[in-house]
Amino acid sequence: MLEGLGAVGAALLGAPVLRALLPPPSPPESREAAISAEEISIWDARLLLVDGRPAILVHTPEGYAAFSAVCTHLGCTVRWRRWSQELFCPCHGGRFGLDGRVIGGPPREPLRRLEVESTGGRVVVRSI
Amino acid sequence: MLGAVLLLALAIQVGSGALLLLHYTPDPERAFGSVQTIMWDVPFGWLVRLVHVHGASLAIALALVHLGFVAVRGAYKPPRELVWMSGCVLLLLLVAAAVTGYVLPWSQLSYWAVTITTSAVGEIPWLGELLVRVLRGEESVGAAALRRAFGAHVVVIPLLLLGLLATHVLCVARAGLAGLPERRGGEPPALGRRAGSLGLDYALWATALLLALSTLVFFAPKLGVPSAAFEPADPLTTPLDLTTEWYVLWAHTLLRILPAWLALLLQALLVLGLTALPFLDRGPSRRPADRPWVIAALAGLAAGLALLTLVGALA
Repeated sequence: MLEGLGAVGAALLGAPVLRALLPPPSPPESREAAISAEEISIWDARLLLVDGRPAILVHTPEGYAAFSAVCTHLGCTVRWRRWSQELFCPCHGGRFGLDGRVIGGPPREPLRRLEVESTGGRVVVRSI
Repeated sequence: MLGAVLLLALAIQVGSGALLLLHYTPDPERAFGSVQTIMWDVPFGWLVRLVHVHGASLAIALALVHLGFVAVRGAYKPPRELVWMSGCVLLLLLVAAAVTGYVLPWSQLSYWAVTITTSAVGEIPWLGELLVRVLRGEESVGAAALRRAFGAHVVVIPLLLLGLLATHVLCVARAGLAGLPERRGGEPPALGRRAGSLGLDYALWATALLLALSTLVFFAPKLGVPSAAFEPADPLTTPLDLTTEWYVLWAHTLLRILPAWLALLLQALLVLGLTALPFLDRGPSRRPADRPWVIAALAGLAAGLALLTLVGALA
């Protein structure tokens, strides 16, 4: 009897404590970011904030490619390495190709691809 | 004896930490600036902060040396199992206090340490996602994570440390100081304690601690402090030369070479194995010569951790 009451009491106390530890719902962030096409030359890259998270836009001769810049290993922001034409993570040495696939290091998942639209001298990156 | 000197190191941390609290602001926009104010504008603020920063490193180093002495001397054997186990948890709490402490300036080191640590926790099967949300307090690393680290550093961890320290000291008082292991044939150790030698030992160790702390503070204030600790947090840019404090560098290296879940599993097994040492080494003798496998395992563990730390420092 006492044990049962104790369990109910713990549940009644534990639920609000756990709920208070969890984050409240956050307001939606902008799901797109835009830059002028002049700001990014060929074989150059820019970091942008999309959906509250870092995104990376790369300009290649074939066009633009955009990915979430959050490394799929442990969440560091990837950088563009122009000389080897790859995205790499300074934290643990993860390397990603221009299609987002893992080409080296500890990450197992590819970078998340984002939508890119280039019109009227503006490049818009959108979260899919 | 080292344990008693460790108490002095903790007292220095509490005193310097209380002074830092008077000027620190736990807000991402102002935390780095408030630490700069402490360093450059508050009278003797630089001294208090450097004592706190290097005192944390020295406290962990002392705790590791203390743990090593106790392990080699077999002083974890009955009736001192609880002393050993509480000591292991105390070491974990010390590291937790240090890690949450270097989050507070909200430097590049702070920001990326929180990001990497919480992401690694997220790899724990089933519970990972929930734990990440609890630790970060919001979807991404930001103000909530800083406030949580602040709360843990100044309230939760010190309270746990205090309670466990009291338990540890009570257990030592009940079981008595272990002293040196017996000699061959169960004879008492050759270098038995003389009256008054404990006081002298304490004075020597305490002087060594204060000398080491003064040397670090006055002559090598940046020694062992990663360069990312001197730049304000920038969520868009991970520093190229990102490294971490020496006492967690081995864990950082494990994350570099192994999948995160395996690195975490190894760390958990290491902590559990070390804590359970009194139940794994059940022989009656405390003499190192009678425990070759335990000594070899401990030496292997120390060498492995040192190697991982070295690899992490050079990578």
